[in-house]
Amino acid sequence: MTSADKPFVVIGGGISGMAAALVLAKFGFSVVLIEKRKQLAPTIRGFSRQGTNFDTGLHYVGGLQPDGPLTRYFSFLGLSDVPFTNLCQNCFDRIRFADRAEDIQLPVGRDAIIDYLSGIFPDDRHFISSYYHQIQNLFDSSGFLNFKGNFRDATNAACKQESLACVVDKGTQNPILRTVLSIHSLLYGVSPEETPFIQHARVAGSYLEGVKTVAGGGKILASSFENQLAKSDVTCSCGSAVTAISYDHAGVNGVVLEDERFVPAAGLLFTAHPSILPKLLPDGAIKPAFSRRLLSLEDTISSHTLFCSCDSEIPSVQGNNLFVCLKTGIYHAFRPDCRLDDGPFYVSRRVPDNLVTPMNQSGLIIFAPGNIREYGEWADSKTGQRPEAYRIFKRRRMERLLEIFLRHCPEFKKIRVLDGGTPLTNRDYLGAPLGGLYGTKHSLNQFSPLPATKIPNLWMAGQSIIAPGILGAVISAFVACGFIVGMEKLQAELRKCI
Amino acid sequence: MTDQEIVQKAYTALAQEFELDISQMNPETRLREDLGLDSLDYVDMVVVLEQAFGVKIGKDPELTSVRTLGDVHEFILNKKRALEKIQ
Repeated sequence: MTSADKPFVVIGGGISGMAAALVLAKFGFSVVLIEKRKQLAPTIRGFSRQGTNFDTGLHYVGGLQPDGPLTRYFSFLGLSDVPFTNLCQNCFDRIRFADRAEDIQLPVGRDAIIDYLSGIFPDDRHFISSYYHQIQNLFDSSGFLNFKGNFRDATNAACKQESLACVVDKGTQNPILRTVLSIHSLLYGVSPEETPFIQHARVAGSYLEGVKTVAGGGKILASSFENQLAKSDVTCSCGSAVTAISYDHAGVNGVVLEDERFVPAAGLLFTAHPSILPKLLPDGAIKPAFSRRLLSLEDTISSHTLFCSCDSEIPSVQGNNLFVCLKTGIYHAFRPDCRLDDGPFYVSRRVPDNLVTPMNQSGLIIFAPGNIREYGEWADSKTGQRPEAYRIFKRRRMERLLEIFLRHCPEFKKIRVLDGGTPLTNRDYLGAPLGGLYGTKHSLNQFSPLPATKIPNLWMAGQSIIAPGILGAVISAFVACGFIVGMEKLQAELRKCI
Repeated sequence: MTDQEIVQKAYTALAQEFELDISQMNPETRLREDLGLDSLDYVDMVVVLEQAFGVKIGKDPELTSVRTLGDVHEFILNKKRALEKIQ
């Protein structure tokens, strides 16, 4: 078999892997997409318990306005049929503080947010305006988010950067406002103290416009991807993990699967957690320095999760998300010794769609911070086969979470808990070796891996590479494909999509 | 730690982590041309040095001017002096 006959292999059937497979197929590659779980898109697909559907990966996304970046990427991928639906325009994010009578209700749109927050914090109105204008400018300055510019080097390796905490703490003394302006760090799982402000702006900036979710949830997005992959003749292999990457002097030449099949490869795009890559490569394929760096990357925040059902409408999560801050400030949530009792909580409910998901089947999810170290003694156990001691510990954690949550949010007292998740659950379901919700951290304290590697036909994509979340995963796929097919060529094609 | 010890420690760490021949390493050795380290390796080099010396180097703009092993020593010694000043 010559290299021209070999397919291009993509490891990991999440958003990044599926998006990259579609891009490569569009440029004429024969593509094999490999996912170790039984179905593609395990994270965004979610799951159901007792007839109630839960979204584990997709809660809300931004940048979906008609000329928004995600609209354009999805249009390029042939996913324009996904039924996106607006969150509540007057309040897409509700933020509750234990010691404040009224919830903060963030509206959609930069100027609307500035007006709203300036009304509540009149002494800080100049800072509020400058903060959101800075976010918008930094967001627009990225070639991946604003198609007027160029795709450019994503590293910023050589510039000294300010943290989000630094910008916010310099700008205002008000502890509530500081929390409001940094709350979205929970959506990428890195403390404001170590998040480069530019990185924050490029994630949080997407929530200024086009804030939507998918009617029917992540499984609808997953099946749109699946349909498109089938139309594009991408070969999907699910249910058997890659156990080794085969390599010779010229680069990667194939992968070995758990079921002992060998898939030849002309090139390889790796989209799983970066710490898995060195374990698949033979000795000598990469330098010890690179291997050690990938293995020592710190993960984003993990969580305890309650999966609940509720038969009736709850106005505080009606077309919006709810953040519950038990303490002002959120830095504590990211520390290794974070306590469940200190919050914050993030609550999301799938927007009911009477055709697809009636109210009583529309699951409600409550996230609280968690650390996998607390579960160290059960690290060897697998989901479904955990020891009794773990189950008792988990039950206590879940009961405690519910008790504290209801104390601050009594309007939820009719919810029924159907299941719970710990950092170990995240590890096993999200393919995250340390239970991190958003891959490895994009932090001032570590260097994120780049799409290109020293092996000429091996590339990396996924939340850990360029940026987290659905938008970040999609962008990382496009950047990696830009290296493979030619950046200019890909950008020219993208500019044609509206 | 003396300056000489620092240089030795840096050589040992870089040789081990990049599989280099330590006998070929001297202050004039060019990272790119002689050792074959490119921009992708620079980031790994920073992490190797951080771990060897237990200091945070991070995304330091001065790194862009590092071309030879001599520049690497100078960079680390400057870091060390800066740290001593703080202490």
